[in-house]
Amino acid sequence: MNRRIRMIALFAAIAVVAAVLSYGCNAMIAGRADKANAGLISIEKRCAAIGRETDSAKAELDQRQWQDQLAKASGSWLSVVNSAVNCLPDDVWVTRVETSPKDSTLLIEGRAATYDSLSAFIGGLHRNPAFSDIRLGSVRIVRIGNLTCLDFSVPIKLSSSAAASGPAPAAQANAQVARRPGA
Amino acid sequence: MKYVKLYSPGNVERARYVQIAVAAVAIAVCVFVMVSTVLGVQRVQRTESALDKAVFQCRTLSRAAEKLQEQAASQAFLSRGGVESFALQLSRWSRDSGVDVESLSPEGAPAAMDIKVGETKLGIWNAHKVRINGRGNFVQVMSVLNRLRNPHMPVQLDSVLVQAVDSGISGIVSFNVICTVYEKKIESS
Repeated sequence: MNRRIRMIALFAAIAVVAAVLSYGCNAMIAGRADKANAGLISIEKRCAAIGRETDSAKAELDQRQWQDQLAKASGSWLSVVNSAVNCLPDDVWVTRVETSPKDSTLLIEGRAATYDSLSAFIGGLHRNPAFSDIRLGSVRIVRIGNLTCLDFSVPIKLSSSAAASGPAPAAQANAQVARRPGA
Repeated sequence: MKYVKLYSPGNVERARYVQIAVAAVAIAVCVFVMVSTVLGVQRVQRTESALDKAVFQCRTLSRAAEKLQEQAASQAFLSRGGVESFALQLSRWSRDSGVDVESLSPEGAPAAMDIKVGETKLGIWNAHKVRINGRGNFVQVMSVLNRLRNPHMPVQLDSVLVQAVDSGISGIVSFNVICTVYEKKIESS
């Protein structure tokens, strides 16, 4: 009987010790888990702040990229005008240059001393890959004092590669621009 | 009065049941301790592993953000655009090149546009069509127009008309240029 009572006391003591240990372990684990959770929340907040900073920097860089695209589109037309003007022989001069982005054309009006120089000018334009369709629109003989000159107009259609980098298509292709309803 | 013996067979039998019950409780408590400890340790390990992962991601993000910010800071001041700043810029360019800008006039009402580059929304921008008239030496006029290749603001050349004012003899030309000038729309709260 005494042995049984001792065993009961031993089991009860084991249960109490186990309960105390459990409480202690759980408290320690909970403390560690709380610390880790707090760290996690703080890191998540920091990550969110970094994400916002990254988004802001990325938006700035993307705006610059967009501005560069706009500038590139402007530059492509200026390059077209420059390359047409660079084809001018010495005795041909331009009186009017007009770009038309809608139909990707360039109109050049000018004055040439001779048919040969006019022909050389048009030949030079033909050799330029930026221009696809070049034709002599009109030629008129004019007299200035003792000089006889030719007034001419040359409409030029841009080649598809040059037209693709022109202002109108570039604005649509490079930046997705959507007109707001009701704007 | 009836005396019951402590070591009676009935009490011995009861003590056996109590011993079994206490042993069962002790085993249950021990199992609970072990299971809850193991579960708790696993939970802590998961949280700490998530923390380590988050710290690593945070460091990676931080490095990427630093790089992006350095890249953005290394470039020139980012303009919000607008006709006024463009007019100011153009007057500087024309003064430097000796070109007369006779007029700069917005045409029609500005159109509000949602600008998006790739996945990034740049917000709402007003697009103003602006007509610029002026005159000057052809080379100088082209040098002013060539500034639009790198204007440091959101502006796009739409069309160019350059015309000789005196049959092209003097090299003086008049120009008529249409540009689209963008201006960041500030949302009123």
